[in-house]
Order: sequence, then structure tokens, then C-alpha cells
Amino acid sequence: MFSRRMILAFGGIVFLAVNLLLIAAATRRSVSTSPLGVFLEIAAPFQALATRAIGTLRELREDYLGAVAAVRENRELRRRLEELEQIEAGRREIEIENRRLKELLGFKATLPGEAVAARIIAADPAAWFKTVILDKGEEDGVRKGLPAVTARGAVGQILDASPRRSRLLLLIDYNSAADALVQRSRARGVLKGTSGAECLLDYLQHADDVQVGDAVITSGFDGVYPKGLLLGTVSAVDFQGTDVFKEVRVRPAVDFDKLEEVLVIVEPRPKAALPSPARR
Amino acid sequence: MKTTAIAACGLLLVLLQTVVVPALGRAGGFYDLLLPWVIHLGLFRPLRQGLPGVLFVGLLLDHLSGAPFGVFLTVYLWSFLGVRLLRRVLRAETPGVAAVLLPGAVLFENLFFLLVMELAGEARPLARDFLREAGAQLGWALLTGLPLAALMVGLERGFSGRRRRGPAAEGVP
Repeated sequence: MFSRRMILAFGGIVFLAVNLLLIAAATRRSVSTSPLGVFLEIAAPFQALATRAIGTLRELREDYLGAVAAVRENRELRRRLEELEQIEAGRREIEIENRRLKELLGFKATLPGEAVAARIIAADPAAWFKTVILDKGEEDGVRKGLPAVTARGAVGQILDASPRRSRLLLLIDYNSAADALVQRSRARGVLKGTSGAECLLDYLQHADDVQVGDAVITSGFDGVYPKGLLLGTVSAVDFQGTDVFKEVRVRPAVDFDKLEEVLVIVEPRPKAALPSPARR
Repeated sequence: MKTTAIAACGLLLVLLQTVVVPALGRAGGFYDLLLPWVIHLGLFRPLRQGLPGVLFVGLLLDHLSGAPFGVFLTVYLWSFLGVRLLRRVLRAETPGVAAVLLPGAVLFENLFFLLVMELAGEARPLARDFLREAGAQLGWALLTGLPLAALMVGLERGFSGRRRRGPAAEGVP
């Protein structure tokens, strides 16, 4: 009765009509009521969990990379900091040296004769002998017997000199002696080194007025040091009734442990008076 | 160790003592660094090598120091000869012996310097200054004697070993 082709065509039309009707009905509803929603509800927590896990992993990766970068940056900054600290230490050293040299230069202008600035390059090998080696010698006018000073006071005298080096006998050496005056009372004695921290002011008699704290200056009579250079301060006065001379200890004005540069007076004029150390 | 190497080591120690140690602010209170070297030469080196080394550093220091000429030469020579004599008696050549001898040598040197200053007739060190300085030097000698002696022996052995191995290792006939 109906051919197979007709049945297939009718079936096709019916299927198309039903399909169109279903689509038309679906477009009128805003929310899907498909049973697939159940699956979504079931899958959602896992998806969220996976998403969170991936997020965490991503954060970890970023944190790790950040940490690696921070470590590198930290290392670089530390290196830079060390460099800057070295530069700063060098700058500070230059500043201190500059201040010291300015002080020395200012003092140089007050000296009665011409002076040569010299740097100390080595100390005496033995603790008991207080000499230092200077980087200036005969070619710079430095000769045996010349006095060396700093802005703080007398340092010593040149022991011997080679063409470019010289050896300076410090005031505190046991071989050193300088004619001295107690500035306040004008009592005269000889300041001798002891190779220790203090010097002795010798040949002060009973009647001589000397007290702890008195400034001791060069007298200029020894023909080595110009008059008026500060030698030190009286730190102790010992006196026994039977002694001929007082035992007077003097703490040197110059800190010999920290001495780095000196001025060697190459044209000394011993008789000329220097400005009073008290006023300097 | 050849005599030139001994002289070079002595020169290095002189530089350490006159430039480096004072720069560290330890010019006073630290003992003469050449003394352990003299003891080392006396204990571990033959006379023909040790004696020129001792004479060299003695003369060098006598020229560098403000001390009367011959003081260092005398101290080093007597210390060296004393160590040679003790070596015969003790029959022990170890860093421990060198460490024990060092404080003795330090004390001898300080007393000798004091004697020289006394003989010179000028002002001498105050007793408390002498005791403080000599005491500090002895303390340092006791503290650093053994490591320093071991270091010197170790360095010398290392140096000698490398010199002996050197040509063979490099395939030099």
C-alpha cells in the first residue's frame, strides 16, 4: 500500500516537525531543566577543587620563582652593600686623613722654619726601642738630628737618613732626651724617654714648682727642638726628702701608637718662639 | 729548604713584624716574630742552612731597629746556639719542643734588651712597664707558640714535598 520511500519521507517530516516544536518550546524557557544539571552539580565540587589545586600550584610556582628571584636579588644586594660599605670605609678613611693633613698643614704654617711632611712606613722590630721609618730622606732635605713634630707636639728627632728614607727616634725611646720647661713655673729639666708609655722629667730640684697637670714644653736650648713645642703633661710627681731631684713623670702629648704622619723641620730655628701650646 | 728560601721567609717575617703587626695596633705586647723562626732553624735545619739564615735576619733587624747595633744579632745567635745545644740533649725535634722553647727565648730577649738599656746609662723602662710588656709577650708566646711552630713545620714539609714531587709529576726527566 505505502511504499517504503513514502514511509521514510513521512517519518522524516514528522521527526523534523517534532524537532522544531521542541526547539520552539525550549527557546521559551530561560533555565534549562535538563537532567544534565544533576551531573553538573556532581562534577562542580571536583572542578572547583581542581581549579583551586591548579591555582595553588600556580601560586606555589610563582612563589618559588619569586623566592628564587628574591634570593638572587638578595645576593646581588648584599654584594652591592658590601661594595658600598668598602667605598664608605675608604671615603671615611680619606676624610680622616684629609682632616689630619689639614691639621698638619695648618700647624706647618705656624712653624718658624720650612717643614717636610713624611709618612711613617714601618715601626721598630723591637718593642723596647721606639723608632719608626719615614718615607722621606736626604733627597727631601731630611738629615740626622732634625726635629719632627705634629700639631699635637714634639715627636722626636731624626736618627739617620738614607737618600729616600730616614729613621726617627721617638721622644719615648730610652735614648731620647729633650731640654724642657714646665710651662707654668718655667722650671727647667730634661725630658727622657723610658721606652714605656710615660717619660721622665729629670733634674728638677726640690725648690722647683711642678704639679700634676702642668704642661711641659720644649725650651729651645738643646739646639734640636724649637722653643714652645708641647711635650706632654705632668702625670705624677714623686719626691722623697733625701732625693736630690724630684721624680716627675710626663704623659706625652702625642699618641705614638696612632702616629701616621709627621712634619720634619728641615730648617729649624731653635731660638724662635712658637705660639703657646695652650693657645693652639 | 735552600738558604735563599730561608732568607726569603726571614724577610717576610721582618715585614710582618715591622709593618703588619704595628698596623694591627699590636706593636707593643706581641713578641718578636723572628724568635720562633730562629728556634725552627735551630731545631729542624742543618747548621749550614740555619746559621746563615740567623745571621741574615739578625743583621737586617740591627739595621732597621733603633737598638744599638749587634743586639738582635747577639740575641738570635745565642738563641740559635742554645736551641742546637738543647736539641742534642733532648733528642726530640717536634713542634711541641719549639713551643716550649719559645717563652724561654722571649724572656731571654727581653732581659737582654733590659740589660742593654741599663748599660746605655740613659733612662730605663719603669718596672711596671717592663713587667707589663714582658708579661704580655710571654702570654702571647705561650698562647701561639705551638700553632705557630706546627704551621712552620707543616709549611716547610709541604714546600719540600712539592719540590721533591714536582719534577716527577710534571714528567720532567
